[in-house]
Amino acid sequence: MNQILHIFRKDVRHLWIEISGSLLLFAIYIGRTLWLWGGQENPADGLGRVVWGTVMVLVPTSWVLIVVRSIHDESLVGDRQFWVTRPYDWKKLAAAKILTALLFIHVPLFIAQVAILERSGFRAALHVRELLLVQLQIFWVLDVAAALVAAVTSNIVQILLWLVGVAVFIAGLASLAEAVPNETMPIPGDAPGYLAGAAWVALCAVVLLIQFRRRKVWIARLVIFAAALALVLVIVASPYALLVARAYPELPPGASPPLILRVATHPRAGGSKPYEPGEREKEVSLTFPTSSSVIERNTFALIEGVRVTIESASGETSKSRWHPEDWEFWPGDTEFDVPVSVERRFFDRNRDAPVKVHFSFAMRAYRETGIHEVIARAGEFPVEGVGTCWLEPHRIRGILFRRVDSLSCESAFVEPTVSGRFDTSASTCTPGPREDPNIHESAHLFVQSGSDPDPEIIPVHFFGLYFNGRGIDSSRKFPLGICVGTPVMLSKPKTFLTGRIETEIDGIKLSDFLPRPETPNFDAE
Amino acid sequence: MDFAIQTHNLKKHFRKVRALDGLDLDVPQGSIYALVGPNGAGKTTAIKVLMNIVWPTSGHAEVLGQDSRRVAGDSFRSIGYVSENQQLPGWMRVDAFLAYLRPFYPSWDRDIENELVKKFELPLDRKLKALSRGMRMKVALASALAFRPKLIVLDEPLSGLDPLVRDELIEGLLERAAESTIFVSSHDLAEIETIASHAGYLDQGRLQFSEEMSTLAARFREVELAFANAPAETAATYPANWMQVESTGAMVRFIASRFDEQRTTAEIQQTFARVRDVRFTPMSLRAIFLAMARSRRGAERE
Repeated sequence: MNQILHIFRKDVRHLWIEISGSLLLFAIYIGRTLWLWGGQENPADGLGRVVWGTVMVLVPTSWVLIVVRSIHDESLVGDRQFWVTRPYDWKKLAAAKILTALLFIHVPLFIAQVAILERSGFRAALHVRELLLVQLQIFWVLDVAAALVAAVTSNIVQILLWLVGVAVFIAGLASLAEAVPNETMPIPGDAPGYLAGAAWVALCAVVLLIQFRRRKVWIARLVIFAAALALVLVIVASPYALLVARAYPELPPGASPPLILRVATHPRAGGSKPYEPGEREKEVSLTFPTSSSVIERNTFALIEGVRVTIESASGETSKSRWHPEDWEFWPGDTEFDVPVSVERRFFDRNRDAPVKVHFSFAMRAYRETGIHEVIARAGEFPVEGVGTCWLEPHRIRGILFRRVDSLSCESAFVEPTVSGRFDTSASTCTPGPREDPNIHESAHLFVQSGSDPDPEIIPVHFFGLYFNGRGIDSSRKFPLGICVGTPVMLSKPKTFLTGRIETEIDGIKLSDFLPRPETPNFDAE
Repeated sequence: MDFAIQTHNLKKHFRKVRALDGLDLDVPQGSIYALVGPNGAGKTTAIKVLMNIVWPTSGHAEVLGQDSRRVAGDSFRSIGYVSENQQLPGWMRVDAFLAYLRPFYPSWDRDIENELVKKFELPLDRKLKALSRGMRMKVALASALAFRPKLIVLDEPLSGLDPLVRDELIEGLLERAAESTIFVSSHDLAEIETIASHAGYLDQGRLQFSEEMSTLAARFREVELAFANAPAETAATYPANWMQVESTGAMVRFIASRFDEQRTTAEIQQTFARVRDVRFTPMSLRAIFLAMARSRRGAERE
């Protein structure tokens, strides 16, 4: 312990400018945030915004700098450093560096987050898990990443070169991911994602161990390059289609699906001509009018992805990738269009020939649990399972709109996963000139977020609970919104079924489904 | 005999370069061992292997009875290492540097430290990066001597220093010699000669000889033969221990590397019939080193 503190004190003496600068920037950032939350008008003009944006970037940058400079103080690269032949214990050296990061990054962050939570009305003691989780995430994402690069470099120039390399690699990886079929489809229980996370932890542990214990920089660098290559292989070689199929199993025959989807066999009615694809377009967009109905009350469904297979009479097949979607379906009937892209050559060969189109919909069905009524109040009011909410009249082009169809809320660390309903007939608002109390509709809400917090400095999230209805109707009037005294129903959605809905239409002509500017005419199968 | 350093068939290859090619070395405890050799002979590599800065490709080395691959951390409480290439923390002042190192060594002796600071006239209030090369070496040496190490390893400590600084360093070193083994690599043979008790000659990664200075000095002689008339006699072959045989006018000169007055005289009589006068001259370490180096180069050319 003595050696740890001894090295730590030396680092503090050497890096006091970097440490003071970082603490000052952090204090400015947190202080200004709290000041604005205190109801102050944001005075930031153009230049002020730039300065403020710079401060926001400089805070994590200064943290990276502390980690990097601290490790470079006993550089792990090269064999000429004095400390290599002094009685340093590598474990204590590493512990001293961790202590530096803890005291000058994590302790200030922890104190600031507790202060922000308390200031916002959240009891910090109830969020210890999230507080520690954020610390852990920042440790792995920022501290360890910076330590990893610092461990295989000996100066800032080398660091910058590595960062350029990492940026190029990430850009390349993103392009690669776009090109890999089905990679963009989110997979519940994302195996490649978990694999990459585990690989990151293992990589950091191995590289830092090699460097602190043995200082074999070429081996450490090789490990990093090997890990980068492995990441590319994971992205390229992961059987995404298989993973999607496993995550969304086909519903068993005879099972009654919570959501029924019917793809129309006829295109839109109306005389207007369809949009013909341009000569240079390599893909042709088609729209398939579809209707849906959610059978059960207090349930709703989400279509998270679509895949379409088109088979011509001659046996030629066009199979799309899984396209990620985010379509919500609530009780009652809904009409919507399924957009499909077809390769131009396939379309040209089969545009007027009868084809069979097979649709696979990746569906997740939710049941609303713990349904409870929330009455909107004046000022801030607590909302169970959400946080603290308030009604927020908004201005558009200087005009104050009293009508709101949302609640503004704040929560600690993570936005809640919540669903809800708002019946406009229960509105307590006084009708305005653009509002019609006779327009009744049921507006819905579904907000989904992860259960773990993101590695962010500010632990309080601001968000809106938007109830989506039809909005303005044909008479150019709005239904009434949410005012003080208006009840809304909120609930905690729980997944009760994840699966694939398979449906197909046969004998249709692709050219009939070129998009037209008319309302579809549904013809149920 | 106890050895502070021992190596057996030690090899270190950097790709195709054989920096050490089967080094067998024994450094007796309490000795001042000078490892000499031309540039690229492998001296620094040998020291880096001993200090566990690099790992050997094969073979075995022991430092103070410990496998060199395990020399780390606490091992350096008994080993003081100074190298001309060592990077010191330039941002630290001399006094802060010494103060920083103190707690690492339970055996750190403040009296020795103060003595060395005084002797070397170290400017305590100056930053290390602002010091001259010689002064930095003095700081490094002071910091390596103040904890009474059992073994002091010095890699080219004197190269490029002015004579005054060299003398001061050597003086400081000698004062600690009684309680330590000193292993020093150097080109500065003249100074090393005055302090070394043992010497080893390393060339192309192999130890060409290793012995006590007294026997080394006794073993090498510059031999000058005078003949009655020029030209001097020549022979088809010479004894194997004769190096650099040269004939000039009525004189023949060579270096006897296994000198023994009776034996060498007998060899001369067997090789030449008309020798009028024989003169044996003791050689300095520098002269021996140069003779060895030239002899090897000559052999390579042939």
